[in-house]
Amino acid sequence: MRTAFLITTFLGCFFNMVAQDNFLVYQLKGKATVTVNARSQPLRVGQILSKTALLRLDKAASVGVLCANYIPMFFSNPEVRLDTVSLSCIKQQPSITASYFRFVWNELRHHPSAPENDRRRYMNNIGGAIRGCPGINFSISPDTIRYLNAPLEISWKTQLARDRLTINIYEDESGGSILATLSVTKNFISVDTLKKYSLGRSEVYWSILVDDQEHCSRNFLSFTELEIYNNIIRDAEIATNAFTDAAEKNFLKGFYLEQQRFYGEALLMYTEALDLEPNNKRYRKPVDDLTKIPNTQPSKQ
Amino acid sequence: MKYLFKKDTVFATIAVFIVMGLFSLIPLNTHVLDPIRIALTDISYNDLSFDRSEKNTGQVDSNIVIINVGNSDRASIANLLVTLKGHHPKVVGIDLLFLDPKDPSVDSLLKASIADLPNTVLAHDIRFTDGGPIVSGFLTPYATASGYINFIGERKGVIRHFSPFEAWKDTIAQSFPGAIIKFADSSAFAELKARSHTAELINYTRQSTQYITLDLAAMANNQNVSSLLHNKIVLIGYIGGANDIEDRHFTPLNPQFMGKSIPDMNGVVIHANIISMILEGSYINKIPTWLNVLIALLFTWIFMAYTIKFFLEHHLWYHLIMKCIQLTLTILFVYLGIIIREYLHLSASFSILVVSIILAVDVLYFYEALALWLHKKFRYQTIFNKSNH
Repeated sequence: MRTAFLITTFLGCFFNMVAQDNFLVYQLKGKATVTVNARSQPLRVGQILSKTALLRLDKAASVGVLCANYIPMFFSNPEVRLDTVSLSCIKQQPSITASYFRFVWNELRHHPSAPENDRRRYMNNIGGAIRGCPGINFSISPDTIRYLNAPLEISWKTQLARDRLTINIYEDESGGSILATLSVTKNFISVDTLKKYSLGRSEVYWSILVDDQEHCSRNFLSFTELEIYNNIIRDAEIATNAFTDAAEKNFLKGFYLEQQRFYGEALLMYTEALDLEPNNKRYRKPVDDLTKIPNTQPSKQ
Repeated sequence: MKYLFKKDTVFATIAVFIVMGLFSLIPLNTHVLDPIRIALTDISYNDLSFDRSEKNTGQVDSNIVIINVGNSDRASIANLLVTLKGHHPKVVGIDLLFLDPKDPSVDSLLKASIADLPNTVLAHDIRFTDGGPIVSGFLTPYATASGYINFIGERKGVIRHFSPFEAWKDTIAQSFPGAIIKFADSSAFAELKARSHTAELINYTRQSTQYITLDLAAMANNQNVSSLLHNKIVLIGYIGGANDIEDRHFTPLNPQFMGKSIPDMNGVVIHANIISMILEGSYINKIPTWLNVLIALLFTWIFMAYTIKFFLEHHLWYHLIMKCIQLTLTILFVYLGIIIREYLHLSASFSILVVSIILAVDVLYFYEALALWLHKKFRYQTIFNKSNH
């Protein structure tokens, strides 16, 4: 009995660990389908969905899913790409138990050695002031982002180790108080996460710090009200009135929103255009640009 | 000394070193929840030779002038380099890491002023990855030479060592101080190279106040700047206020020897200390490991003879006396290390010796049990078979 319990617990923990990118459907109102690898099937409660799944919901339908770490999410949009919401599954405040055992495990593995005997591993301390933003390439231009509610991940690529990076959210463009400091666990962050730690403010600034030093200029993040967004969408509708093709219309709306720095909302429009014409390379490019992790070439001598 | 040449003394001493060897083979850090051990991880008692001695209140090094650029922009730094050319310094070391382009016009100005100034050494960063070294610093091709500004040490730990040169494949990279010395003093550079040390201990001899430091903003109004800079090693870097930790590091000169404190020295001042050390030839040499082990072995042998004496003849007081002796010897050996560092410029590591002294008392119990078991089974002759304790 005890052996069976231990094996079950171990397997449960193992599957929980490997299934970090999975979602469990636990609530379904109305009808919805799920498309994975171009195969569609009706969505069912209890179904486990992978990160690559695309949900299509009928009118008035809603879906509730659970992330691997038990964060619930609800969707009522006609289409939901789970890869665009996967970032919201990152747990920013791990449990005390997890933190404690992570500390013990890290300490157990950290076998102290003399730095001079393994010098190249320990040559991480730079004896000079850094001028310029140290090699962090973002997927999108992060200097100004406007956000309503469309899921958006800001990803970056850097040669710097993650434990050297932290994200600060500030009240002001320069100086001012720090609203939150977030540790960097992955090479991306969702705007939702930034919003969560913005303490209800409609405008904040954020920056990635290297070794607790702020080398890069602060980025502006505006959480727009629905009314303002609707005005912009109305302008976009007027601007695209001449087009009758739904895909092209969505693409141009996406372009308009991107120009207005609504990257998340623009991504939704571009995705809709691409879904209507999956082979259109022009429609694919902005979707790729807004979702792909950028490439970076370190300077070499 | 009657127990010194007994075979039990020799075997017990060997047992101490076997136990030490076995401990070192454990791949896990067994001190995971030992707060004292964690607190002392980056502590070297030899640091006391810098911190507590009066050595670091020495003379100002007049060979080196530091120019603090503060938060000046690239245009101001370019103007500074243009101004410096007129003062004919021996070599100019720019301890600023320019990682990426900014304003093209200002960057062009900076490139031109770097290229125009003779004997300029520009800082760059070097990281060793599995795919090979990665060098960062986009203006380095325009300088006369470049040098990496990486120190050796735990992240946010005490900086005690630097690597003078790094070689891989057909490339040899110079450290920032090494590249500066190459222009400033060819014989000192030759000596540094001849030592062939992969990691040199930094002999900290001066605080920032013991280098002539000019502020970039104040330089414009100073008429006597030329005499200060002519034929000198000029280091351009950042020195912030007391509570500014940008480019600040922990050094053995930190007034707080252990526990939580704030970094005490700017990178540019550490480079200045390294340059002073190379120019003065005041290197600190390390006692080789084999000699450390030999000293530890000989001393532990003598110590074990006394331990056995107390164990057999004064067993009632054995633990109390041994704890007192252990404490006294530990204090004495730390003191000896400081004295050797101070007067002989030698870095002696007595950690093996101190650990063997600490282990000896407990290992002796284990050895006694083993010897008695061998005596019972195989008639092994041991001094522990007399029930005199």
